[in-house]
Amino acid sequence: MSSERKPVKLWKIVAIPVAMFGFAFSLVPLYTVFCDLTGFNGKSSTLIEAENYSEKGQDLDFSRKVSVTFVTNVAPGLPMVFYPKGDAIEIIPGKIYQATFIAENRSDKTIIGQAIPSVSPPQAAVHFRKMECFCFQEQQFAPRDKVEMPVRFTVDPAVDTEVKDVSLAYTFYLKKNAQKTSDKTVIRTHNEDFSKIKTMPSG
Amino acid sequence: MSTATATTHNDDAHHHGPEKGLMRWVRTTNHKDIGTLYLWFSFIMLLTGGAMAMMIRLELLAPGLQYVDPQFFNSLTTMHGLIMVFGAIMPAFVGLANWQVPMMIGAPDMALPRMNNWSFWILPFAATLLISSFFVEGGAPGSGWTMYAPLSTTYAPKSMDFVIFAIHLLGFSSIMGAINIIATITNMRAPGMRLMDMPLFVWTWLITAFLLIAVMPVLAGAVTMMLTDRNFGTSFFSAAGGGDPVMFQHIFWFFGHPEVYIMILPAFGIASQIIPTFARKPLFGYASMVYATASIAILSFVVWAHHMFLVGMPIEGQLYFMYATILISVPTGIKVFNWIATMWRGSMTFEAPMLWALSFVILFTVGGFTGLMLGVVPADIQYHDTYFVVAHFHYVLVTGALWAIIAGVYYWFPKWTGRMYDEKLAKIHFWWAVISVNVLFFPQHFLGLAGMPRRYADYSIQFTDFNVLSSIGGFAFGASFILYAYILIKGIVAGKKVEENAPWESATTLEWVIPTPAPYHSFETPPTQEQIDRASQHIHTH
Repeated sequence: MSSERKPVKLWKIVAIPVAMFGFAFSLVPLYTVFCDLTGFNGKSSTLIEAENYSEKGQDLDFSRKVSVTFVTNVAPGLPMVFYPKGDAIEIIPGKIYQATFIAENRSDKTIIGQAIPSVSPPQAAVHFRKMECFCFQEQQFAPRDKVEMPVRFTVDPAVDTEVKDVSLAYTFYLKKNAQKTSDKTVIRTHNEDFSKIKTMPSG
Repeated sequence: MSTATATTHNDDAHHHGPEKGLMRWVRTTNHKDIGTLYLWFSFIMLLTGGAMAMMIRLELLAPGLQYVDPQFFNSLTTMHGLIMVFGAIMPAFVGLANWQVPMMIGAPDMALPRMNNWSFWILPFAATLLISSFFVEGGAPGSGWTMYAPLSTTYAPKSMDFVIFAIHLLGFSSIMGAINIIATITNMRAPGMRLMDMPLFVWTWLITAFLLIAVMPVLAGAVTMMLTDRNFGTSFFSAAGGGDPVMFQHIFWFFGHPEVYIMILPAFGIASQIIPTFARKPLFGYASMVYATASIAILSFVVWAHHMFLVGMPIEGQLYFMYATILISVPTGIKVFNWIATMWRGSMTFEAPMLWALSFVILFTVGGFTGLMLGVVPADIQYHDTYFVVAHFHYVLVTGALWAIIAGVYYWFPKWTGRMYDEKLAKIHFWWAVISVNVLFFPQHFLGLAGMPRRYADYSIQFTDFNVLSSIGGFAFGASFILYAYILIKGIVAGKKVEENAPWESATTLEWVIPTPAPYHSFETPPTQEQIDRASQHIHTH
């Protein structure tokens, strides 16, 4: 009979909320891992070893076309204008393309910011590969300067054939605490030559 | 102190009844005193949140802006939600648990009486902190009770930090209360009472307490991340720094969905006590009720994203969360059918507690059906963030949770006070409330289907008629609480004295074995095996 039941130790009950508080914070890395695997939040494209990607050895299917639309946003209050040169292009999966984005600093102060990319739909995000992107680093813009910035990218042929339209969205944010440039910052000027930009994989 | 068992007090006061004077209420460790404190606190919070609801309905009485500016309107909806969820419904259930759980399991008190006192006394401070956010520069937050980032981070006024700390405190209180209830139920049941002998109110609270200790810390984590995002430069929910605002919604609803069951499972328990008493039949399907409650609790952890179908989700995710959500209607349906089967061919009478419990079953089911509609992805895409959602969760929370609380208060009123409430006034109160609440919330379904979005101070003129109707219902429903307060006070002060142990003659659980009003210290000697067997005999008759 249960009259001799053993009391439940209090620490066992207390351990549950303590563990669950930890679990709440563990959801942050879990969410990142989940998104990297599924492309859920459109971010995973920056994680692929994209700089080693080449067109060679790929069987390109020239009959297949995917439309890539470029979307640009600027964080509220940031005195910048930011837009793509051409709203969309048709691409053949596997082939490397270059798109150009134009950013203009409309203020009299130097702006250090970074563009945060997002690719949708999610099933395309895991296959969207950037060989080179201004979003990999912080960017510095001189007052009233207008610059062009390149993105070299492709959509891997492994992408589901149902995916016909992909959008690549960037939002430009002010880098909060960046008062001066760090060695990671790319200083943009309007007369730069794209071929000299060193590409860096993102962290 | 690692073992939670009954503690004996050396305090003389505790052996001879309550301490004299106001300090009794500050220092008390008696489960009945603390239950009373919880119930009055939650009633005051209910009236506070209700006053905000009245202002909301007043503003919505006509299209255009009349009385409040839109920012203040948003603050009202936000604080109304937070106060009702964390200040009214949850503390009311904890108050009922404090009063009832020890008496129903034949225990002398809660397992951790000193912590019990602390659990309660955190609440008034937390509530003050929460409400004081109205008086800070920038006003109270207007992000809605869900506090989605970036509304609660980048765009919230300073007072959001007040709300964050208030939620920390409320969370502490709930977690301590839940730990206490688990320790009490697992360790202090009368010797000889098996788990499957426990009344359903105790069972539902045991399961609710486990939900509380599992998810309140997750909310605490979410608001802590919000706090550091706001003040310490982290970027948990900011895309600019590599975070993701959508992650807030995932963490919030991982807490939020179990939370809505925290607010309804004890209501199921109350209905499961009242209906058999007034149908004069044992509860139908006791074991299935226990298992259904446990299934609902377990499923509540795996359906959270049905609150966010519209934030972007792969089709596989939508399908999974839709099916999992609809699966919950199976155990819930079992419970509703069991209540109906309990009443089938019963000798029913319709005293006030039964009227409230019956209308709970009917109106909660209405809310359950609209929930089923909202769980279906294509329908949810249409209904998301409209008044249909507002109607849905008010049916489950007002005519669900609050209805059961009122039913429970009427049901146990004679045991607590030793006096009977005025049955005639209670019936008037019931019909007044049940009619007005439907006038208040039922038209909101139509508003939602017609596309009126929630959380706006203004609306297009085609929504006027239903809004006027809803506001009139709202004012009438609000006024019903004046009558409710009058009935309670009149009953406590001048109600007819109740002498018998069990004023409801077919109530069988252990609280009806002890004298009325319940003595300050009950079950100082545990109930006999015979008493336990008689109290739970009905369970094993099937």
